[in-house]
Amino acid sequence: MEHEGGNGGRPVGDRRMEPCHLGVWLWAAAALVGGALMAVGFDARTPLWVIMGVPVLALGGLALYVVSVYIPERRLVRRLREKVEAYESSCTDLQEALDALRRGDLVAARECEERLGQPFRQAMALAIRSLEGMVREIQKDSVEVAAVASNVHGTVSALASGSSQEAAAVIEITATMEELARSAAQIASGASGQAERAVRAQEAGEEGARAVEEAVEGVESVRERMDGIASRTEALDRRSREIFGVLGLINDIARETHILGLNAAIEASTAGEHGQRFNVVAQEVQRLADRSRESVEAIRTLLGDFASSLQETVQAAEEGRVAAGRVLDKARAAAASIAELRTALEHTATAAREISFSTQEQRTASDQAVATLREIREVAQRTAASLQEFTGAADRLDRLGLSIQLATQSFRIESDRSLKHLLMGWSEQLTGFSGHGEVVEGILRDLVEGNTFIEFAYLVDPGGSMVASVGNGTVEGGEAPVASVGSGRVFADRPWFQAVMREGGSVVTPPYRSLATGQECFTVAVPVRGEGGRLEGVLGVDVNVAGWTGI
Amino acid sequence: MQDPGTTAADRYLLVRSGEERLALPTAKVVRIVDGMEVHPLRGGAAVFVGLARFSGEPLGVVEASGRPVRPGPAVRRTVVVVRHRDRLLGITVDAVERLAASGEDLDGWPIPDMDRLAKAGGGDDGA
Repeated sequence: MEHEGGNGGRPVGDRRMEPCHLGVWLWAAAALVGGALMAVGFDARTPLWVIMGVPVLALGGLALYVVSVYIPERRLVRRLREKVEAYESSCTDLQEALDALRRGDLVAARECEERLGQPFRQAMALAIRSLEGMVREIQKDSVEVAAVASNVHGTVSALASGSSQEAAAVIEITATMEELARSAAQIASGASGQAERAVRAQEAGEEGARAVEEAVEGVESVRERMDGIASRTEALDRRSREIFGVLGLINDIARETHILGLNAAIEASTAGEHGQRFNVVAQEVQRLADRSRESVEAIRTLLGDFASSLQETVQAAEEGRVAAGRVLDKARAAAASIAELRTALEHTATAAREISFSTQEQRTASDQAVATLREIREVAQRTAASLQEFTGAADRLDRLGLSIQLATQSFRIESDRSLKHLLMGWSEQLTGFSGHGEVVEGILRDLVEGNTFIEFAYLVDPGGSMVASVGNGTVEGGEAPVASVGSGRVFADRPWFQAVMREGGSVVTPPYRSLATGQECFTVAVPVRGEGGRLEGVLGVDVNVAGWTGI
Repeated sequence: MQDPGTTAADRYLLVRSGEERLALPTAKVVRIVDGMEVHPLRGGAAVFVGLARFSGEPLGVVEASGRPVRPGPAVRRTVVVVRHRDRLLGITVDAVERLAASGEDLDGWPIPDMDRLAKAGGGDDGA
């Protein structure tokens, strides 16, 4: 924006002074010409004082004019010129100040403001102070906005994640409740069937109890009969023993008869011829005795067999009686068990009916819970979707906070939060060293090590070639800065370089994704000036957004 | 051990006493008494059982098997009363089997030495 009063002040003064000087000279010329004409036109009669009076008057008028008009005017013009020069200087300073303001360099604007005259100086000071205060306020607020936005973003992300997890959990719970409802239905069905089976088992138990009672009665009857058999068998045993006694008697008789027969035969043999017929009788007696003994032996054998059988019968009857007693005991125990079983089955049937009823109620409750959970799931899903949108809004708010912060960084103010101001201070350390890459690398290393938010710091010469660069190893995940001197890389096509070269002031780029770290960063670049404001290079710094906003 | 007073054609009474089996000539047998009460008497021969009463007279009784007799209380035994050299002698047996016919093979049924038995029973040795 060209200032209109740049070179136009002096012609204006000259234009205003030229009529004055012309009037003086015209007045002097008129006086002289008038005097000459009067000298020529007047005759002798004309008095000399008349003739001389005209030039004198002219000269007097001229002198009066010079004294009263010309000299004051010249004084006025000189003062006016001084004023104009001061005005022009002020305009220049004002232009520079406004230019600094346009660049956002409030520090330079303040330096220009100090050279301004009143009332511009006061107005400019007020404007700069007001603007600086506003920038500081916005900067502070933007930091808070960024922090709040970051917190909101984190909170909303956590809420969205939690809500999504909640929705997933609700889905799982719904599935579980549905499974529970199905299980409850199966249990109800099973319990109902169990109740029916328990009733049938109870009926079967009653039939079994009756059968066992009949079995007990039968076993008791068997035992009584076994007792009768045992008693009768004992009677038989006694009789058989009596028979044995009789057989013994018969045997004795037979033996005596046998001996009698032998004695008779012996007597007959001693009787000679007369004893022959007696001997026949004796032999018959002896034969009868022998047959009796044989019969007795046969009966004794048979009776022994009978006695053995009878003994076995007695023993079997006893064993049967004992077994019948045991069977009776077991049958009675079985009857008691069946009675308990019937009671248990009755309880089982009652419990199964209660389980069936309870599980049906549980199924109803589960169905209601499933319906409620489905509603909750829909609400949770809607909440998750809303929070997802809210996450986008928080993200935009975060971006907005960052944009505001970057916008405030476009101003240079005397503050440690002003990157341009920091870089301008750092650039002064580099003044005169642009040709010494190692020195520049050392200065940049100190800068990087002292400011963790810097990803890269570099100095580029006016031709756009890299003089030196230092990367922050901490930001990159390393431990030490990574330095490079005279790599020969060309940055002439970079927008920040072109902007600094074009504007002559500092620039702040929009945020972008760092190739080194993959994180968001932006570049701040300032000119490095030497003696007489000569441009020696451009100092650039890649600022990590998270690291910068975290300070 | 053939009794000189008998012949092979004589009949014999077959008796048993324990494991011993004997054939007593019927010509010498007087009577078979079942259940004769025999009273033990100490100091006699080893096979002397004791004294019994037969037809009102004391009768010496010996063990037919020749086994030594253990002293004990009075017992009832089956006694075959024989006459040997005109003296009566009781021989205890466990069982009286039968009369052996004339000419029957008596293998396994030896005839006892009646003299020795008679001597043990307190009778004359017959010499």
